[in-house]
Amino acid sequence: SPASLSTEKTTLRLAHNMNESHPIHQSLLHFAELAEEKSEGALTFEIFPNGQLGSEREAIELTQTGAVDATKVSATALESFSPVYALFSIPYLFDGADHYYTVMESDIATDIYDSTADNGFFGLTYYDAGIRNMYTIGTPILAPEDLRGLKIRVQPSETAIEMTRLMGGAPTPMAFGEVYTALQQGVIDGTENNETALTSNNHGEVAKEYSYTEHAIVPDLLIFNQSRWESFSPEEQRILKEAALESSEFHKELWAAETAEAIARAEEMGVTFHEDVDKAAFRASVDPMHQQVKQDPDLAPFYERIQEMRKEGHTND
Amino acid sequence: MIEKINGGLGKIIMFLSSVMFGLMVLVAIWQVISRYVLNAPSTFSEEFLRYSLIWVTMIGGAYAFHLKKHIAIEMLVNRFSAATQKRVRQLVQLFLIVFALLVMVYGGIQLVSLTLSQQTVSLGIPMGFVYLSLPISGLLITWFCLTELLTGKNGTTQGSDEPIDL
Amino acid sequence: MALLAGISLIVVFLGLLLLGVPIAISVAGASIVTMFLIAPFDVAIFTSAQKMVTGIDSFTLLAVPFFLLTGIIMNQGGIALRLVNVAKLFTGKLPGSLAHTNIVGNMLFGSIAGSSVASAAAIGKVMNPLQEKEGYDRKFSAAVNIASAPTGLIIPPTGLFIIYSLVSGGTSVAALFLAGYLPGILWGLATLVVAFFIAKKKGYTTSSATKVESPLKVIWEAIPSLFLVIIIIGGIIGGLFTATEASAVAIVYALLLSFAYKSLTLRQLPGIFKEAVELTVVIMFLIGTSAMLSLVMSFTGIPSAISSAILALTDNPILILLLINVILLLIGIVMDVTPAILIFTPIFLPVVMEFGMDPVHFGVILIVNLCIGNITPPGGSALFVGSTIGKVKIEEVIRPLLPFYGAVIVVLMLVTMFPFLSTWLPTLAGLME
Ligand code: NA
Ligand code: NA
Repeated sequence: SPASLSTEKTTLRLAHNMNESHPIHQSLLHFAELAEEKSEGALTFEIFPNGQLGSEREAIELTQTGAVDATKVSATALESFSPVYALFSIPYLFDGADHYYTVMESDIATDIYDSTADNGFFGLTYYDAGIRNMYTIGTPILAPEDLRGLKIRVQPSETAIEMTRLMGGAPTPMAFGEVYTALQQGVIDGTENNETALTSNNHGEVAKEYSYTEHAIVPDLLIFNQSRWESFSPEEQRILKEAALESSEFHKELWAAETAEAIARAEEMGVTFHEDVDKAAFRASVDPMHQQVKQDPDLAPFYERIQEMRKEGHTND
Repeated sequence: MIEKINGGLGKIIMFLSSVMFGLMVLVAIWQVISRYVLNAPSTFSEEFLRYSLIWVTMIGGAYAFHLKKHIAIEMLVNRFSAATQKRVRQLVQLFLIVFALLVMVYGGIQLVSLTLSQQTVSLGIPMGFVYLSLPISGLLITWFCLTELLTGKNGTTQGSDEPIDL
Repeated sequence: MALLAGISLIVVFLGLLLLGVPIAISVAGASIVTMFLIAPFDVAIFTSAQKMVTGIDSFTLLAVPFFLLTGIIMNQGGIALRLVNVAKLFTGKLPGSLAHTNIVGNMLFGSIAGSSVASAAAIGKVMNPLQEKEGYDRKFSAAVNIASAPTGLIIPPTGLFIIYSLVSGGTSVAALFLAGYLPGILWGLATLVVAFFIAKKKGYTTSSATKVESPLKVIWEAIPSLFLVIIIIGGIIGGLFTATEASAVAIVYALLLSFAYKSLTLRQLPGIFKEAVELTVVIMFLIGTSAMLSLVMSFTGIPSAISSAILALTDNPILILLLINVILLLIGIVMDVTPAILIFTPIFLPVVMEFGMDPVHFGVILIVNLCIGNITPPGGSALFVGSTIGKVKIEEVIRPLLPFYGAVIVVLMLVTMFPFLSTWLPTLAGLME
């Protein structure tokens, strides 16, 4: 038959570790619907939410070997598989949301996505996962001095610890699930995350000062098994790619609405949002990390390209 | 001869596992000290502890097949005639060998080769080193079950008459 | 698919189990055969291998071997003896006071150790000879010790709640620990009541052995042992330590205490570690292979199929809980606690959550229920150790145990019907809403 779509129905497995009420689940459902629609029912997805098939790391391994065809993971989880992804953990890599979107929609992103091709998978698209900011129990964090001596929970990684130390705080690595209790008991003075953590994890009940330090923007990624991808016809690949990009756009709106709702609900809880943060001072404090990246042969080329875009972004203002 | 080898192997496994276990207690204590006393939280300890537990379980767990420590229910088998019991126990050993070779050795080697290029988050060692415990455990299980089949010592019951639970 | 997978799981599992294949490998075998039905060969092998390793890759889980080691250290005598002396303060005036001392001793020991086996051994070693000297029926003494030993599995700290936390998808260990206090104490009280009536009937009196010369001295001597509660539970609830860190601190503390009491020497250490390793690897190996089973179940949607089947039968939550309790009781009789938690949590938790039950409450029901199996034949580990220590045959101790079975089933019913018994303390501490 001349049609490049196979007449046989292919069911693909897609895993992620969020619950079914999370916006990312809606966006992945949307992706699956789009793919099915565009392929006239030839490509369908079975979605496994809630980390049913394992942690992010396990799910990536399952995607590598083809037990699962696609997985939504955080860029942080991909650091172990390709050093390039460590870039996203560098504080102030992006000069705000505009710079971030410019980069993620450029060929830098696709080059990063393809860096794991030898590992059996590649990135198909990205999904917004918010901007990370500091939030605390007592004083708002408007400048590095405000962080001095404060115990700040961070993800258990060297980069996060170094960042917090350079910014002026005392880093306390801790599993995410323990943060609420730790805040409540005063084991930590604050932590850092996007606005939704205030409401979905109730951190806003305890931590009332949310300061827009905007120190990191870490995307989620939809990764795909390489050999499964290569088994598709160009037409099928085009359909999947299109569906993926459209679902990313769809997710942008969903995520923005989710964030706005979180902010409104957090304000009801009594959380104050502080915009007047001296970001330049924080950016300067973590400069040693930027200097380090420039020395790293794996990261430097990507880093330089991203910084180029910052300049371009600025001329557009 | 085979008994001597197994005895020696068991001693080595138990020695390594016990030392590892002791080390794990010390590292966990270190994690507390580094956080509260030194105010410089340890970043290697959590990963070290998790991966040590995996190795101790896999290696010690293999030896536990030789010691018959794994919980089994032998109510039914014990009612059979001596000759049938022997044959059933041989069958069980065969099944254990098939499982160990297929899942632990074959699957384990696949897993190791896939993850040698993957770095663990804080120790930065290849993830394959952690998974390596699986095929090695599988080989040990195969060896212990095989020697049992060959030496014909299938009369001993599994550890069902001993308390293994918490 | 769920039906086919379910049948395959049950048939293969039971087949292997009855042939005498270790439970860990029966679970693994059933899982992989079922995987072959739904996934390509290599995929099934790869994911099974992966799950076997990652199933034990958990920081929280480390608390299980550490608590085991603490129990083994405390089993060496010095600590048990001092706790028994404290127990005498509470129970000295009751008829059959030695039996009551045994029960309270098990509860106190259980409040610092996480094991019914260690408790039955340590307290039984101290109490059974005293009871025999005072003319107690040996079978009755053993039954009392056995019946009250599981309080150590329900009153925190306990490895069972940690394992449940893991398989239930991260239920708060701190909340579960607090939830165990009232049901565990209730279990102890229920056995006290039974022991009281039997002792009265048998004409046992108070005993000179439970006379305490100087209560203050007894309490003073036990304070270092009881301080473990503050280190472990206080440390966890207060957010000072994680459960794993607390368990490691408990090991060091129990070691120092045992050295100070001279109930332990350095030369015994290698043997203690060896014993801990042997227990650890068996439990962890089982946890690893059970992770394969959990994966197969979520792949095939078995829990939701069971849940709709049960909900089609009845949508009365009380009836459903009753039904689940009966099933679990039967399971607990043939299977020991840990494997039963690993295998049946993923099946029943989604069902009860469907009608709004809290995972903390269900965890307590599950563990109280399975603890009954811990003291029933054939496979109850506390029953085994308690009768060995009490120098009686298992068959002999069943009859005197019968009234205790009745009492703990009443406790199970209370814990099932009244969620506040489990949820009140964790709510008070702000760990639950
Ligand atoms: Na306990
Ligand atoms: Na039993």
